[in-house]
Amino acid sequence: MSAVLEVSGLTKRFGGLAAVDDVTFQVSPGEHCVLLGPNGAGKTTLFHLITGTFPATTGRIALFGRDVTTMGAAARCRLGVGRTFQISNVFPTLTPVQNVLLAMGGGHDGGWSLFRSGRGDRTTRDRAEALLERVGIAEAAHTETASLSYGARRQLELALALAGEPRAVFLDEPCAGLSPAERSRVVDIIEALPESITLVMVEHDMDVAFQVARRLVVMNRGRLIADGSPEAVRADATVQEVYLGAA
Amino acid sequence: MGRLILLAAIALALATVPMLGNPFWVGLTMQVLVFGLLAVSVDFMIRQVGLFPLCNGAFFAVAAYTVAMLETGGWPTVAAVPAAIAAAALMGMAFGISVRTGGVYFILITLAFGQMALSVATSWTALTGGDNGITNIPYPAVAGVGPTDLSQMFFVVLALVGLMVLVYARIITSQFGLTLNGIRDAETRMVALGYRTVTRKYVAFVISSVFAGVAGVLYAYTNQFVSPAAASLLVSVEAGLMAILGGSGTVIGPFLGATVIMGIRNIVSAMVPGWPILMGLVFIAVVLFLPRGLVGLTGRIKRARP
Ligand SMILES: Nc1ncnc2c1ncn2[C@@H]1O[C@H](COP(=O)(O)OP(=O)(O)OP(=O)(O)O)[C@@H](O)[C@H]1O
Ligand SMILES: [Mg+2]
Repeated sequence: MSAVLEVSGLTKRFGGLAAVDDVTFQVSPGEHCVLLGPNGAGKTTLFHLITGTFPATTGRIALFGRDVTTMGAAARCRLGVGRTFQISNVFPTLTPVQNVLLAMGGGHDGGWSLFRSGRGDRTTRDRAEALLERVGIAEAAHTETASLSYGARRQLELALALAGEPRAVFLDEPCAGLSPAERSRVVDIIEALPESITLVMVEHDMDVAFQVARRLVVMNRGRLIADGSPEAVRADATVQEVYLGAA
Repeated sequence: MGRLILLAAIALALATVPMLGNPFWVGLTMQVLVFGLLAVSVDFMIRQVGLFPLCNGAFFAVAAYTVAMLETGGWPTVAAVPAAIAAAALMGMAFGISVRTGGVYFILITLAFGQMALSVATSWTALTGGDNGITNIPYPAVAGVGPTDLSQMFFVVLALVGLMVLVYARIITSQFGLTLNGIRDAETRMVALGYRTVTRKYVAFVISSVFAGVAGVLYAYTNQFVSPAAASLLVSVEAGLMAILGGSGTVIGPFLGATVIMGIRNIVSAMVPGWPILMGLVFIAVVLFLPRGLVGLTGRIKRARP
């Protein structure tokens, strides 16, 4: 089976800075991998390139065997890509249920009816509420999202990434700033994802990284510096140097 | 449900206006309804989509002129009205390219489109009568049946505006309305969820132009006279002011705003010479102290009670 994600020679320049610098790697179906790297390594930029937030300077990206290098973000999502943003990007004036209803419709660019109610039908609403239950914010399902705590908004962000039943999800530091209880809930959700779902996740916490992933990819200054099993990466001399050097 | 009852109560209260027997109040209330509907079309873009248009006066005017030309040219109402709304919608489809921009660029490009429409109204005199405008527009009639006096016309306007309000309330709570609110709140997230957001904003813009067009049709019939004043920038600006004054993205808000502005212009202007200043002061006060508009005031009163 072909790779879910194929990145080759990918570079993104912001002025003189190569935020992502000649990155090449592949992710196979069902693989769960964690992207590591010190602050400013280019992880978020790499996610933006893969999900289509902005175009690459050079290089090629393929998703599910299709070249998507010049494809827009919405079209890539419709191929089956779900994502979270490092800085929560949810709908503040809507309720979490409405947030999730929107996320469920996006995959097919739905919600065109001018007359059918935006509250959705019973089954859709039930599914939305079940997802909020899963991420642990069911009790806030019908309050205004702007009034949610930081942690709850993070959990909602995760719900938005999963609501469209994506085939590949890209999570940018889903655990950052969460309490230990919220953190372990996120880890549980990730571990419970179906085998068929491919996952790439940015995570600074080594415990979390080792728990969810069988493969670590490490970036530093835009370059990919290590890629392999957690044990191999931990033992890697360059990685140790980057992390000890940065500490 | 409670909202429907409130709307029905307002409609019933308005229905008593002709019984006062004073054509001034009947005429003024009609103006409030017509311009309130125009303000609804603007409010839709401001509060549901998050874009501030300055060209809705052009949709209003193109519909008003189309009705005026066709009715005075002998067309039946059943043909003139759809043609006028179609003209507004076509103009909406053309100007809709503006949604590719946002923020202040959107305001400026819609301003430019609106000014283009105004210059057509003033300079294409063969068609529009230039500064003289088009006079003697008859009341609408379907198969020979139609209003024959001011108070009958009033009920026609009340019924049609009421119908448009119901349609509007349905649209903003629809699936499509929810996706517009998503774009307003976080467009990048909507894109990342797979939505074609520009297409949606375009459709919303055309919907807005249709509402403005219906208001323009009603304007032509109630005023029975259309001149470039109907196409002036002031119409677009005032409609925006009405929407902001009313506030809160409810259906009632724009009509409240229209009541205040039309009231100041038609009643206070007779008493106070500096009425535009008063209008400015009211507007500044609302923006500064009532960011959620006049409708937001009811929320404040409710919250102030223990
Ligand atoms: N839009 C932008 N314009 C200019 N420079 C940018 C932009 N986005 C990111 N950068 C720069 O690119 C580099 C990589 O940033 P990026 O956000 O991808 O790092 P990261 O690995 O996600 O870091 P963190 O762990 O802090 O989230 C940084 O030096 C950053 O300042
Ligand atoms: Mg980052």
